[in-house]
Amino acid sequence: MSAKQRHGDGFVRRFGVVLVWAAVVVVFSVVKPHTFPTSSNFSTLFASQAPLGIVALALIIPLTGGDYDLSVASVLNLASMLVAVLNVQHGMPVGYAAILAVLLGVVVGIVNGVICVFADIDPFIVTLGMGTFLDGLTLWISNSAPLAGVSQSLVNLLVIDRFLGLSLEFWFLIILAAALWFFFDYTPPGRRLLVVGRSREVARLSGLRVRRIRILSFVAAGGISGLAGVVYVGTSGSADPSAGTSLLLPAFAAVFLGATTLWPGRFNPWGTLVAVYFLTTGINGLAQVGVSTFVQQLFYGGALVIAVLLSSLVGRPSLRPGRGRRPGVAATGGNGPAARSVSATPASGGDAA
Amino acid sequence: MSVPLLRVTNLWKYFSGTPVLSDVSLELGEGEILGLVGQNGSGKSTLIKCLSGYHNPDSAWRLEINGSTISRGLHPGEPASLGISFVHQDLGVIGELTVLENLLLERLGQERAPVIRWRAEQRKARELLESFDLQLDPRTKLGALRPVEQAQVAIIRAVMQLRDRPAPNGRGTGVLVLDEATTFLDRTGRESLHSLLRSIAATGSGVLFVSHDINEVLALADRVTVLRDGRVVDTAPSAELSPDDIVGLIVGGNRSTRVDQLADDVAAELAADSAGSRDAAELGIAAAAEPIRSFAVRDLAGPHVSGIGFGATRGEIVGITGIVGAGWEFVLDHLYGAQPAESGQLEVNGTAFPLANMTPRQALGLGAILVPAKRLTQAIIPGLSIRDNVMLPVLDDSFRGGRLRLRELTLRCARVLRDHAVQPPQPDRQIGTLSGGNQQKAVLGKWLQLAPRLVLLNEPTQGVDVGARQLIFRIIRRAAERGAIVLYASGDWDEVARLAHRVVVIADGKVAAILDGDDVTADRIAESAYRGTRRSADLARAADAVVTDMTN
Repeated sequence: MSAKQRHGDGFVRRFGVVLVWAAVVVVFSVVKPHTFPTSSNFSTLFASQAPLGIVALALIIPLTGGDYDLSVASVLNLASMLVAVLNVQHGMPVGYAAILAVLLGVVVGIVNGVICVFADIDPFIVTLGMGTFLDGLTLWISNSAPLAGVSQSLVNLLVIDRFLGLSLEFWFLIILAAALWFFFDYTPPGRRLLVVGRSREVARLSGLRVRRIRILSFVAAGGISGLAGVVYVGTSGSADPSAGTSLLLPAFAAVFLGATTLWPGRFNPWGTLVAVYFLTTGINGLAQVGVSTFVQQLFYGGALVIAVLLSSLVGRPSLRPGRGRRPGVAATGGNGPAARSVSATPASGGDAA
Repeated sequence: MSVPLLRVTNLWKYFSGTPVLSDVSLELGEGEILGLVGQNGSGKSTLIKCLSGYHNPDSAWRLEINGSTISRGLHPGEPASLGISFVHQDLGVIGELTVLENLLLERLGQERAPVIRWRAEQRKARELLESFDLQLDPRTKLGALRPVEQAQVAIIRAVMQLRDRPAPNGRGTGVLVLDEATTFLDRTGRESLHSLLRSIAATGSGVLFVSHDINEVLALADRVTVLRDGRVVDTAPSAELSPDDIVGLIVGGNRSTRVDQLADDVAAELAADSAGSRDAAELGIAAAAEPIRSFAVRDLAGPHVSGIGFGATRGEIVGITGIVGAGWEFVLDHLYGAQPAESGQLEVNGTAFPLANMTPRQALGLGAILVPAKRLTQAIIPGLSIRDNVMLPVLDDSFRGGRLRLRELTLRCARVLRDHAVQPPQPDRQIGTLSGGNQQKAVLGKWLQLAPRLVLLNEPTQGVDVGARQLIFRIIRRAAERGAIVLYASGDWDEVARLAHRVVVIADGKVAAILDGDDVTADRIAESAYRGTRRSADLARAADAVVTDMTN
């Protein structure tokens, strides 16, 4: 496999998902010319998926640093319910409730980070437990019932007010993606986070504060997930005690699919957004064609597996598997627990034999 | 040698139109050990990869092996059935598994029997190990073994592969290829592997032995084939070659002047650098820090060392060495805080810093840097660009006006690469695509751009070819001439003797001798290292005797 070959299909590698997205749009536009390719359909689509986009962006921060955070969707869920409970049942102004919801996410991030880093426990387990715990809290404070009637001012801000014909929540998402892109590419902490994610040992020996960086990445993910919860509750004006958690899988699917595009081999914000909208466009179109709702699960689940598959194929030339890689794009890591180092070795042996 | 075990003829291989192997031929007879040497980039790895089925040759080559003749590319897996097995530099063993599990790894992948008969397998493994005089318990976890023993396991597994899949000749012998498998072993370790390899050859197999270490190849191999720029430049019996002959063949007339030229350029540039600090300031390169006036290590103790103490003065290169496993490998890691020490102090300019609490961050703050021994896991991230790797410690210098100046960072990086003769000097390239020597030069550049006062180098020439090695030596000398203290840990006594002003020899975790002046020779180091070991062994035996007496 020569360098030239790799450059040759570089365009397809970088823009593959974008092209597939375009193809999906074209197909549904042909099939449903009156309902699918309309500005109202697209403006609804772009805005309504903002919470998913935000929580997916939250996810790429710890993933870049080599840590899974499976609690992001539960934070979103609890935050949205917290806003609803405080605002609707206790009459707290929605602005304060929103700030508390973000703070809640920050606290969850601190707890996640401290436990993972100082007790040196696999974040996969810690955040899985944390997420389930938070789901319990959500059911508790909501009495397991949906809660409607959240202040119209929040709904106005996020959904009703528009810029260039699109709800502000969509633009918040874009601003957040831009901020993360800037952080990852144009600030020293962003570059250091990437190094921490690729090799804890190299980072430590280079004098980086690995623990602090990892904890902060959990904190950022928690805070942004809290924010996603605020946007989520504002999008519909109501909170549902279980709806939010169903975003976890789509978020992962988007993040891993996003890592195969634009900057293949790296979790990146713009690729993530492209993936979010590719996935939701597909589902929107299928729904319009009249396919049952179970197709959502098929689509998200299938996309996640295919994304990881693609990224391991795409990532291979640029990222040697099994050399100090953390959860990485191909979900095999070098420095991780025993199971990972074992899984990494046959790959290098395969190269050799 | 009328019918050789292995014969390769007319092997050509091109990468993007450039020949990397040109009309390569080689022969290996039964019971023979053939050394294969050459610089990084000379085509050794490509040759091995053609044999292993990883690359397809670009010509109608002829591969004669064990009586069968093939003139197409091999499929992966095919070499094993033809009777060729490989031991690579990373050994392909898994520390979490036991010796037995490691030995059976490949078999388990192919075996059709649904049940593993552990007891029988264990007996067979034990017999095999014993037949080669290896005292290894198949039940030991591999990770608990010394590196030499891990290498032995990898070699035995390759031998098993030859036996389990009887090649066409039906004798259970074949070709064993060692692809730089001894690189990470010290001299004593290598010697113990040599006797293993000789006894394998004595059973009728052939050994193709690839190594950077010329002395090792000469000591072990019956004949030596030298590759340069993809061509076989010579094949001759080891007895007829001196180390100097081989260096001459490897480097070649032109290449040598080019390397020297390159090194002179580096020296000139470095000199210009120290003269024109305006440039340095412009580029944000740290101005040379105040050199250390006084430096001492006192009573350093850790899991493998105790009571280590020595001093150093500015501009001095101090070698730290001994027999492999004697503890010298850990000294620099303790000084830098890479591995926690149990006790001891580092004294810099009269202030003592406790080593038990040392962290890399604190060490960096003191003006120290460490080039760690394990390049691929501790020093570089192969999948990231050279720039991301090299500029990591100095990112903040290019963070202005609220953003990283990426173009400036790239330019600074290109300059660091040029200053350290990294080929090719392309900051955007993935560092993993560089040769070992160039990776190491980039790592040196990463750290020396900080103008450190204390330079800690842990086996910096491991897996590095001859040309790059000379450049690395020059870079190290230059750092010392600029006033840094250089501590150079290595198990290669010739290298230590060539480079160091003073040598701390460590035996059994303690300082056995500190050599300086005319005593800095490989022979004196060897003497101190072995004598020190023997002396403490004697002491231990005496102590045991006392204890035995008392209990009696």
